[in-house]
Amino acid sequence: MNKHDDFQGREYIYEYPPYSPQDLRRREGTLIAARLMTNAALTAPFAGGVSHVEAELVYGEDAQEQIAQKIEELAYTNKVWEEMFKYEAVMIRESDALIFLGSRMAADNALDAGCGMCGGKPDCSYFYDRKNSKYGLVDKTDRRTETVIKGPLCSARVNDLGFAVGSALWMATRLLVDARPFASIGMAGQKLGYCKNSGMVIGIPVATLSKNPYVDINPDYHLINMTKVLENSRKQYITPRTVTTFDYRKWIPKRQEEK
Amino acid sequence: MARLDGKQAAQEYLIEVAKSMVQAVYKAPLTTGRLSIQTEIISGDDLVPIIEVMGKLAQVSQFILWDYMALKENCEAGNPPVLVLIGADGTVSDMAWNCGACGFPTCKEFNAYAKENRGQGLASEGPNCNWKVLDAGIICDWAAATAWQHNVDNRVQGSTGSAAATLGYLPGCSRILGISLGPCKELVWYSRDVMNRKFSYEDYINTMFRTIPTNFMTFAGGGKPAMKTIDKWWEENTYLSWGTEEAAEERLYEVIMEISEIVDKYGPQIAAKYKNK
Repeated sequence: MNKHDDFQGREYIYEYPPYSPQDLRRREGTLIAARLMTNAALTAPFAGGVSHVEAELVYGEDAQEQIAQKIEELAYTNKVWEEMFKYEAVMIRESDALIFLGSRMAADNALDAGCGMCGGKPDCSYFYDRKNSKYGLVDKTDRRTETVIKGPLCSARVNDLGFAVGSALWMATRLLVDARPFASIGMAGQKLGYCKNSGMVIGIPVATLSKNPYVDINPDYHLINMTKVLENSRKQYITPRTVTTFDYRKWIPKRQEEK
Repeated sequence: MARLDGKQAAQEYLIEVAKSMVQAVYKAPLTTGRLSIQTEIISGDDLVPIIEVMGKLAQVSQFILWDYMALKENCEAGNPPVLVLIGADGTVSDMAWNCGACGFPTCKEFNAYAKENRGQGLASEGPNCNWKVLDAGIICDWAAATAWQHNVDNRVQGSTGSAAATLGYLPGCSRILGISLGPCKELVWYSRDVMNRKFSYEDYINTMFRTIPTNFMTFAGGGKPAMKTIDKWWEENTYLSWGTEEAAEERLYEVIMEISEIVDKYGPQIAAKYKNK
């Protein structure tokens, strides 16, 4: 028998219920797209041409839940984040996969071109004056910080990271896959150790659901969303059943005219 | 029936591709969702002041020399590119995220510092909020990707962006990048065959000696490795040393003065367009 003699298959694919076999087959497709997006990110241009963007692809209920909960934790650290991050945590749970993109050089290996983006001066003094460094070599071992991101960063590296994020998103649009760049996912992911060498991390959730999970968001989205509605429907339907009992084998209530 | 010369039609269509790039800029997904963007498409004779400024900068910077020569040679050969300017203002953080990426604990403190200390670097104004810088990267990437999907060679350049910023294009933007678009042929901005025979072997190898000296070093155990700058390197020892180069700093100052003359010549005419808006 040759390799392709029994080449045949039949795969039923549908997005509901979540994590069912038919949904997992759909998610496999999203992962292919996410991988291509990641590769696209790595082809993006860099100032000076040297690659410094690392990527991490994350998927699965447990990992996504952990990241969602971290975003919810961050939500309460800043008033302006609270609503936005709570909503975005829902989007993480609904996503098929998450891509993290980070710059390995933004925090400790500047472009050293005096571009002026970080501090508005024709040198890199803004960056180095605020770092523990010798001979322009940054010592990043002191990881204490009161902010989510430990700045300052080399903004030329951050600009490059933007190119990478843009290329990933561009690939997503070409593949008709829904994706958006999120600061919340990036910061939560960074705190959890994703893209572990990076000083700044961006998160891109990816999904191939019939409804784009990142747009057309209703108010109180953390309370009113598909998962909550389904959970509450289950609750509401089961409770009345417990008080409407009869033996269906012997008698079923009918409308008057059906009798 | 109309008959169009294909090459001419392709060259004329560069403007349409540039418009499509600008559309992508405004459509690109952002992390902040509130980036102040300006764009402009420069072509034909309007490239002349930008080329003149780059010609001066080329005297002190090799990567600008590369872009300047490629731009000038293509224009002189009758195949001018179209320049798409993409600018954003990142000097104000209006999100109040207080993320710390800029080095300040709050956006308020950053904004106060940025207002007091706004200044010009070699390729950008600053200080900038890093999220705005990141978004500026995304929009630029989308413009370049659009050009690529139209099969037009292009390159994102700090050089053309800086030259345009110096001349007063896109006032208010702290970060301006230029994307040279076309002309319609293979590898205009990569490999760059217009640069063939412009530099000698010695020019290239001397650049390598200066930029990657460790590649040419002898045994380092003696503490003072010699440089292998000739084939029979053991016959003549050369060494690296370091020190200040006052002549280079003076030259930089002269170039800045010369550029200000060009800005005086073209600046008012460029600025006039924004006043009429």
